[in-house]
Amino acid sequence: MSIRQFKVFSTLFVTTGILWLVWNWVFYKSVSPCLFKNLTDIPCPGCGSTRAAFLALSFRFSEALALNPLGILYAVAIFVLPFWWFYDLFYRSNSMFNYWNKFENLCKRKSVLFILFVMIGSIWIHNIMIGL
Amino acid sequence: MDAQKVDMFMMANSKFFEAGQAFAIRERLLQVDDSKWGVIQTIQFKDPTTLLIVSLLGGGLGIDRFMLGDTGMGVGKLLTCGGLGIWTIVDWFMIQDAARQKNMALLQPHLY
Repeated sequence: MSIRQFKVFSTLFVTTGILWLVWNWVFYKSVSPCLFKNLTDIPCPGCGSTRAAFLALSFRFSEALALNPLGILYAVAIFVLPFWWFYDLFYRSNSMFNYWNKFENLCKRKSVLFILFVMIGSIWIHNIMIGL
Repeated sequence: MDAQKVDMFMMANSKFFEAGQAFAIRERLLQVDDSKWGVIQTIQFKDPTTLLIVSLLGGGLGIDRFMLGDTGMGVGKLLTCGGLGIWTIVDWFMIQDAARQKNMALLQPHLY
């Protein structure tokens, strides 16, 4: 992915993330956007992460962990990513893009990918078990 | 390279590239040394049509992006319910072009 493409992608990603959280915060109970869940009635690994993120944002970490551990990741990301994005904008740096490339290269290693899939797989099984 | 070989290559593989690039690829291949023929012939290109089908079926889990080799984006898509469903739908239309660009990137190093 080129720098230009990544800039567009990261801007859309961050704004959608913030808008999604604001939307859920205002309307509290919203519809599930998950195509996979709506089609098959089986939750995907990301299902429940918005609810878990809200729990984490209100410092109820154990409940957030029990619902979906990804929520804590999102709660951290929603604080870090916008600031990072603005930092890159003001200082005209490409630090986010560089880290993204490092992450992609790391993911190319089979061992890292395997660990990642085991983690996501366990979250998925957990989601199906508790029937999100 | 031999014009006959190049034309054979283009006929078999033109669907893997953007239409606008086909002519430039042909021109470039004609100038490339004959010794590269073996390598160029064995490159595994991603089929845009297959990727479209995968995107339609498993786009929500980011399988299309994993198949394309964009592992980072695949993980991102997988963890966010296919980007709240929006990214999935956007990718139904983007994935074919992304595959063609990826194919060009695969071929590029062998053209020079």
